[in-house]
Amino acid sequence: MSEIRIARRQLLQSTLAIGGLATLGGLAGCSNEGRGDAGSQAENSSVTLPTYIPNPDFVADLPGENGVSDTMLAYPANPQPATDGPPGDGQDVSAFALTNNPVPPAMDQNAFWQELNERLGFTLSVSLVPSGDYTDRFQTTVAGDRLPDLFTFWPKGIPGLPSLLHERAADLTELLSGDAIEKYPFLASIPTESWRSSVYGGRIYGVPIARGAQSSTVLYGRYDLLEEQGIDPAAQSWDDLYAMFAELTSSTTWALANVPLQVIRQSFGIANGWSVDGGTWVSANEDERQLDALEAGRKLVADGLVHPDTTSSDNQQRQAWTIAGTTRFVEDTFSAWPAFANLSGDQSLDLDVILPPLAEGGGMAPIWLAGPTHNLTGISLKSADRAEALLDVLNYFAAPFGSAEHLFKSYGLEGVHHELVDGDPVLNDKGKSETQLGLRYLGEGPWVTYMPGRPDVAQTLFDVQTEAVPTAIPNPSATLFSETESRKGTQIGTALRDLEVDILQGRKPVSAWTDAVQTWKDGGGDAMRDEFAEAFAENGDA
Amino acid sequence: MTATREARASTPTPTPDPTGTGRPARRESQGFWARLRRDHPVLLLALPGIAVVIVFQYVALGGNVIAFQDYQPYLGIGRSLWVGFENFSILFSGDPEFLNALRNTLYITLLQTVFVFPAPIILALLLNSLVSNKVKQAVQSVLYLPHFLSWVIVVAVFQQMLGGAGMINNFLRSHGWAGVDIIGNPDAFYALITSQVIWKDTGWATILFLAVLSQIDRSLYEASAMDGATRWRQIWHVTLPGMKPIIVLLLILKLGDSLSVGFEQLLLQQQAVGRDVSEVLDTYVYNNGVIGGAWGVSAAVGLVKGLVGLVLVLVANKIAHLLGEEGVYRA
Repeated sequence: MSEIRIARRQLLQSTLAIGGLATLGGLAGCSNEGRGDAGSQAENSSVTLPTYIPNPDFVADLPGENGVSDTMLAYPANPQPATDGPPGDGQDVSAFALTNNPVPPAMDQNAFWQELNERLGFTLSVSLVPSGDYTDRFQTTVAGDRLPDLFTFWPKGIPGLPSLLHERAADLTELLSGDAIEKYPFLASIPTESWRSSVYGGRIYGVPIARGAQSSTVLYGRYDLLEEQGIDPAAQSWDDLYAMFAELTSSTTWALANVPLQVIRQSFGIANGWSVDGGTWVSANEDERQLDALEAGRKLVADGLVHPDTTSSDNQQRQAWTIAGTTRFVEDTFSAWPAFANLSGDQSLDLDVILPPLAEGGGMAPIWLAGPTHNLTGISLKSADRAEALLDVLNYFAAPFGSAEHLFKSYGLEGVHHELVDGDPVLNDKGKSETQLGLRYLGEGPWVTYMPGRPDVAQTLFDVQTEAVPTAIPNPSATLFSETESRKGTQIGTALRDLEVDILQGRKPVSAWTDAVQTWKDGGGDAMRDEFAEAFAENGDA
Repeated sequence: MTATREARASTPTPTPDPTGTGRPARRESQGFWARLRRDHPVLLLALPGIAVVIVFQYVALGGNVIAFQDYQPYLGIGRSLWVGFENFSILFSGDPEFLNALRNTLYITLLQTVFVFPAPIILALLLNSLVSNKVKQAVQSVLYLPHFLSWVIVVAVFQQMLGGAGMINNFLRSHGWAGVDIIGNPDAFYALITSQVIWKDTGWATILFLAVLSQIDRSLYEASAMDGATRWRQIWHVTLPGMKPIIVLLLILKLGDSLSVGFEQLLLQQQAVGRDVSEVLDTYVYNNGVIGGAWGVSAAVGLVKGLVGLVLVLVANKIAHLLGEEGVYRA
């Protein structure tokens, strides 16, 4: 106990030095004696984020604006090394990372992994966990005190994350804050907005994997199959969409791989997480239109338009159904296209995004902008003395699009993992499996939309993002800190998510939502609202 | 004392003791070191097993201390805040999620005791009535196999057969009939999980019963046949009484972990059917502790679950004694 109190006092002193007396209010607000330090928004806002230095050598074929990612139609010819020699300190590095792809072959049977070690000059061991199971594995790994040198985590994803990082992760503030980042030029090209998610308890604890618009959830449709059936996917209202789904469903094929609840909510005009009017925060859970959205989703299931095994399937399975044509539509993120391509051997697959119409008609509904950070990579406190070398390794992984490092990291070796088709590195089957080392979740530069051998797909994604992203609605709480959210957000949120499934599957009436939201509010939702409003006000115009 | 012991040891009892009760007396009669000298190879053989039990059962028991803490994994047991019995308040506060988990657990326990427990006994009797040894062995081997499949595979197999897009439903639909909703249907869930357990483990559980059956004195059957007993009467008056001690023993042991009703099996199917019917104490502990971060409360629930199991075993053992059975042990 005394240890914690001392740490607390030290932290108080250091924040006073940085943030001035204003921070006192924030600290007095939290009651976390015995949990370690939870932090506050004031502390977080006082951190000087790493300076943003875009990579001067990178020229996009289609430069993105207003949140749209830069897009490349072809891979630049003759990629040159962007670094001078292997990164790190020559010592082996171990990592614990999430993945959204099938786990690759082991190191001794994996030519890509062996070549990577060769290039790095040390052995990189990676322990991969599917993203769906990652939180459980992370929690038990922390409890067993077995975090390796590098580990990934989701912003806000784990109960008590600020205290956890304070106890177990190396403080990277001195190494990354402000101009210190210049030492890691490729990490410096990560947008500032994403760095906000790396600050906990007033310290920088990780390197972000930037996403933003790319993680936004949209509805994908098999346009090639729709065309065969003579169906025009353009819809003017929710009823139009429903009619099309109904027409597409037969005895052994279904219109939808999952209930596209996020898309339905976008269509019904529900806010992304929270709506802010002046200084007043209202949770989207309280929106009356939630009931309409749930009713629309429930009807899809009741009328048999959704694959009957959807609740027992995972993301990869739903993607596979859509690739196989068992289902025609699936809700997934913009960034999922490469995963679809990985599952399909067919280079002519035509899978496009269909933007939701407003439910009542009258134009397109604005989509929800995802959080600016997909995940973060932290450095274990035990490896704190190697922090500079490990950041150098992450910097290496974040080498820019068009560099020799990026080409190898993403597409392996020519002739072994990919074939050059019109200058594009198209992965072969060996490449598709061996390169899935989760490196893109450890260190990655800003997202570039690019599909090797499919400039048409890159162009379509760029077009649809240019249409949808500038008007997309952000979640105002994405980079704000709430002590209650950090401690209880997952728990009370899961109860609502479970109820959603119960309602959609027809096990509970739609009206059950209202009571559950009241429980959510009483259990911490209202406290989160107040804390976000306060943090929002403290944050000012940041 | 020592003199009598040695004297007794040197003069072996001439009459063999058929009940076996004479053995403890003889063991007492030898000195500790003499017994150690005699038994040490056996003790050495047991050592690895004992070490495993100590490390993974007894030492691990110490972890239960987090039931009395506001445990945070990053602080560890040493530095987490001590909260006494605060975590146990959930047992009495009427938390609907906990009560739901408790209700489901008790219901599944009841189902398993009524339907799953007798299944291997019935199967063993059926197998025992097979005349051809070859057929018997072949059938046995086939019945054992599912036991070696993990729950992930068993659940996937059931899914492939009975799922909404599974074999049966695809067949029904392609012939113009309506599909049947089995997986994902809360009303069918208990029937589903009970049949899964029976399919997976019944064959394996027959091994013990078959061993007991083979030890029943054949002359009893012959004698009863002479008295004109039918097959049914033989089962009722010879076979079942012969199996009774092992049935009682297994029933008592089963009660001990009766509140553990298939964590993996249920967790794997929880998403499909919803927590309302599938949340049991074990999944509650997992969902709230590991996922939700309420480690202390979950440990408290798990601890109480273990204590209830212990009490059940002790009580059942006592009842067995009162009914004249050996039970698991005699104090």
